Amino acid sequence: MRRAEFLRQPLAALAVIAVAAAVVPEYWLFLATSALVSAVALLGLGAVGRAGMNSLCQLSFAAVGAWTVARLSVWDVPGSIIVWVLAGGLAAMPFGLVVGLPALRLRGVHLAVVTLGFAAAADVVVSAVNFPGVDSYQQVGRPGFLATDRQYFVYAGLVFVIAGIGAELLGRTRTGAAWRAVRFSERATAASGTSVARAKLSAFAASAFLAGVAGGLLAGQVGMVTAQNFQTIGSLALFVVAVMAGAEYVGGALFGGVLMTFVPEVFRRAGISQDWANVLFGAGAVQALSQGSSVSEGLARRLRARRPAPVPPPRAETTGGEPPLGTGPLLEVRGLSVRYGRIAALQDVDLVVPEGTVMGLIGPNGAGKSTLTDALSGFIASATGGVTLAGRRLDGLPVHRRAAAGLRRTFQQDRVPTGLTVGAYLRFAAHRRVTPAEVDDVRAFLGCPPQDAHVADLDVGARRLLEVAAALLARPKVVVLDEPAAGLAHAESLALADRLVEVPARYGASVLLIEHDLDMVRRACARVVVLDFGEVIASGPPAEVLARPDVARAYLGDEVALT
Amino acid sequence: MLEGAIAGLAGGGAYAALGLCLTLMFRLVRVVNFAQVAIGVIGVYTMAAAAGHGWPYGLAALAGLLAAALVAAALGWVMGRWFGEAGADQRSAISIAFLVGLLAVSYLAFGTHPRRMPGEFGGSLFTVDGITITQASAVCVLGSAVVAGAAWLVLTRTVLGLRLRALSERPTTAELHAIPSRLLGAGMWAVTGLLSAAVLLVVAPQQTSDQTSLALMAIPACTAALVGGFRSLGLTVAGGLGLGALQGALAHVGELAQYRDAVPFLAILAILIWSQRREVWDAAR
Amino acid sequence: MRIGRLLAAALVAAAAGCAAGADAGTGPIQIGSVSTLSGAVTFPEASQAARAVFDDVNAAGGVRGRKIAYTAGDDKGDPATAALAARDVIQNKHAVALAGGASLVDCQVDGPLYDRYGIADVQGTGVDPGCFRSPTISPTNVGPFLGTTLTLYYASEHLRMNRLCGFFSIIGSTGRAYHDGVTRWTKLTGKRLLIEDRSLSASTTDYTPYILRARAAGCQGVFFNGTEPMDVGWVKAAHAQNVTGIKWLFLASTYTDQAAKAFGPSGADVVALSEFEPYTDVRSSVNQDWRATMTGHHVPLTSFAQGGYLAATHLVTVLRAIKGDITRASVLRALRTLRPLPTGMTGTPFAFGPGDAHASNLAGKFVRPDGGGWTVLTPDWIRLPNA
Repeated sequence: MRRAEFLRQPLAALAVIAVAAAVVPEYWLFLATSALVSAVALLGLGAVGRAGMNSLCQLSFAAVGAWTVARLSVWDVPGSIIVWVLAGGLAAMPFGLVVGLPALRLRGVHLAVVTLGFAAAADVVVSAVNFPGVDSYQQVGRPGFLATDRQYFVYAGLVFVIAGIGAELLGRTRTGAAWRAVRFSERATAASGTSVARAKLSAFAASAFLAGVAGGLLAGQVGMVTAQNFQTIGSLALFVVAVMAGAEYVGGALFGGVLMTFVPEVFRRAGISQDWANVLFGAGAVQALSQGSSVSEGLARRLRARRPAPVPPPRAETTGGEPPLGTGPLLEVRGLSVRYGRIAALQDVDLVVPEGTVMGLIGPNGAGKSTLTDALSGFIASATGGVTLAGRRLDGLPVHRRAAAGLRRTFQQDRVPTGLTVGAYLRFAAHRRVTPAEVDDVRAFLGCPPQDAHVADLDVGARRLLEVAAALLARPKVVVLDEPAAGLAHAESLALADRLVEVPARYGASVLLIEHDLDMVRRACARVVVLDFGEVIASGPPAEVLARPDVARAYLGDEVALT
Repeated sequence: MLEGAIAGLAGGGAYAALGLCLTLMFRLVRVVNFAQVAIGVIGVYTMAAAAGHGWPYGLAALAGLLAAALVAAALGWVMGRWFGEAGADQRSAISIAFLVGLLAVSYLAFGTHPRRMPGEFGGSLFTVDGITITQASAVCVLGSAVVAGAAWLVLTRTVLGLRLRALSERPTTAELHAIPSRLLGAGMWAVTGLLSAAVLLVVAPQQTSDQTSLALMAIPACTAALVGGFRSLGLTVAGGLGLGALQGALAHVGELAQYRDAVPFLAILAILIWSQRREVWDAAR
Repeated sequence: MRIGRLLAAALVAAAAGCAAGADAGTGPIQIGSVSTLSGAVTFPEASQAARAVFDDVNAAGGVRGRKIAYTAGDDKGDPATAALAARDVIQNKHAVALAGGASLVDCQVDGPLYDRYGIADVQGTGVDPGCFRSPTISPTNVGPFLGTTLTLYYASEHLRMNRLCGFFSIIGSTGRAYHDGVTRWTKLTGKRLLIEDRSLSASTTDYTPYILRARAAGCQGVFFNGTEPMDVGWVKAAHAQNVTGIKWLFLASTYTDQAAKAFGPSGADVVALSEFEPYTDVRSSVNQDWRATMTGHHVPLTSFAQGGYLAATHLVTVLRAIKGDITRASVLRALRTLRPLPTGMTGTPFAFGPGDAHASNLAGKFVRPDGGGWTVLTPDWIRLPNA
């Protein structure tokens, strides 16, 4: 049924293309082809948009695609424009990767400045290097079956439908989910085992590919392209329309393409200056940004609002149980130190988390608990000392590799990407192939909402539980939970503690629980480690450790009472 | 080579002054204003249109400055009204929409025909050793230094400067302390808009450009601002002048001359990657 | 579902928009043109002049009783827009011929389309290389590329300059064509340019470095292919740098009243090409009808307006001679069998003929600014030797 629903839109689009090709006059089909070309380029802009990046050089990539098609046409490479356009897209990809490289360090407006600079530089280069065939007055060749504007419209329509299906399918893969996750939080993306660099670069590569395809299509449509087709200001206008229409959605991209082509045409026919179109687009983008959503996003949100997510069934009463003590050492930390300038955030921390246990890590605010979590999961490159997981040294490994090696963590702040559904998020964060039954099992275990609920609709507490569920679903060796009960009611915290007790037996993972709620710690943990001023000051069974006077002193003045 | 570098200082001074506008805007109203130069374009074309109607140059220039300030204030008001609490990224994205819209408005208002700009600083100032210093480059270089100095004085020595800095940190908090944030924000836009128009009044008559290529001077201006990290006024001026001189010098290197306008991009890339090399993660924790 | 709906909406809009469409056989004779009317570089006067000619023809009763309806499309200097504008003229307006266009890109982009539809195009001012290489396009003017050859030829052979330099602002894909123009001059004279710099573009805003380079190289004459505002910028930049004693050789687009005024005293070193009988020469008898027509319709007096006027006049001459239906095919046939049409306004007669490429105007005169106007330097036509 899902598949049938998925196929309905492309089939409808194909039907419209067929009917239009049969009845609409050629002039309008030529215009519609232009709209489709813009739509493909916008679709590419949507790919980087999904990953939360602004690209202002889309037409520069398109120029690469157009140049490639012109080149191949001059060489008369076999395969006709169908192969050439594909080659144009592929040729643009390396450029996307190159422009994407700065995005590994640059974000937001800095990235926008770089891409704008690239667009301007590409302008200069494109003007300097001629498009092939232009000198010799050779137009881009089209095979007999694509010779007329009518036939070419059908071809462009097919390309768009394929590109749209591709974008939609890609959005459902882990790569697509990674883009949305990167947009929300790079740290959380890496912590769930996905390379942020790969996510960003793949978004840029996909974007450049689509832009290249669009450029190639344009070259075939017009027959002869020059630098004027790919000017910086055109890239900016494309960006503005993408913001206005919402290019992350296939429908939004198409809507944007139609706007870019038909609005000026309508103005021209009405005897109004076509420049009004850009005024309109500028105002539309400002309006979209002030609403916080594009036209398509607003529409999608409204559609979703009509189908509110069902409330999860109440969890079965828990029985709790004794926290397991665990067996041999699993996670071994030796002499871990982190310094920020002259301040030591962690000093020679030694810590062993045994296999199959729930261990607590407590300490007053600023004791270094979160620094320890960051150092363990690989966020602090300057950390010294050794971390070993099940005999494997983790030192020097980047965050996503540590996660893949079996060390998972959750965050104190809400880091669940809002752009996804519960199911998509769980499958993405699992970072392995999971069956629907597995997903439902872990959902039921922690009482998470159904798979088709949207993360954006969940409250903070539910998101925290979802994050824990995702970490468990990845089947790690050890999972570090950074205050998972923040945002939960006290009774819910205790229920969560009972669940955590079951985790080692059920999911085969040890738990390192960082928590302020000492009731929860007592209930869940077999052992507790106390951190103060970056040093381990005590460790042992909870009752014993919490009774020690130096531990009480460490907490004195803090908001947590040792009762 | 040296001759070229000195000839490039006219453009460099303009980059510096426009870069100062961008730096001030980023520091004080949290926006990389891609539309900064487009606002100036409105001003200088208003001047040209007025002069075309037979207005004396001084009056026409004044009208141009006023028009730019008004347009900028209006945009600043929009920004403050709807995006008061938005982050720098979003505000900058909006400025791109402003840029596209303003250019279209400028085409609508002033036509798309190339226009000759009347100007005051056409001639040469003096010639030393065969190297001529033009009036325009002298005005631009000195002007950008003066603007940087004045801005520094206002920001560090006056109550207005203190208020502006408070406003830039926390607009809502500043408003609670009875600082009229929207008014000051719009005022800031107006002042930098006026400044951009003034720069273009000097530069545009010396150059042959349409609205778009003038407005895209925002890119080298951005480069200048980046040299100063969108913070330092002195470094921004140095960056602008350096960039102009480099472009001018490159025009004399035969093989590279064609690509000299790509220099800002390479500079942008180098500066950003160096200054942001430690920004491995998006959030502090 | 939404994709489908959007496409359907576009379809309905399209169907509604295209209901109108005239029949080719009756009613007014549809003639069109595609010109660059907006953007960084514009050529509006040619199509305005053509319209003026057609208006006068209509006022005098039209062609064999039929009025001429003229559509001047704008391509904004953008190939995609040019392709659309050409389709508008051919498919929506059902034009039988094109005349009086002046565009940066039209010939190159739409030349093959015109060929496919078998529609003839008498360009008012051919700008891009395609105008001189298409089977169905024949421009009335010399064009920038032959203009380059002609101007360099004048400088080296008549002004006896040996140290000539060339700077070229490359808009679109004209780089190779300019180079060919220079090569042709080299073949004719055996001389070479000291500097041939094709690195300038429409986005080059400051010419100072190039001027300094020319001075450093010791150029006696500098050819620059810029349009009018560019050339004004060039002379101003030279003035600001105190550069004197170098002749600035410009193409016909600079030959305008505004340019002469804008140059002021610093224009003393300027020499410009006139592709037609110099229009500023009020005593010239061959320009009289053109001058009257343009003034009557408030079209600016420029060289471009001469091109547009000639294109329209030639086409009307051809239309009047056609026996039977005026269709695309009959117009093209008439032009292909046309004997060269001599006119006093050009140094060589206008020709179309059966060839695959047409460039019939191979002569010019040269002018220089003088006290806010222009003085003719060469009373006789300067013709390229093989013309």
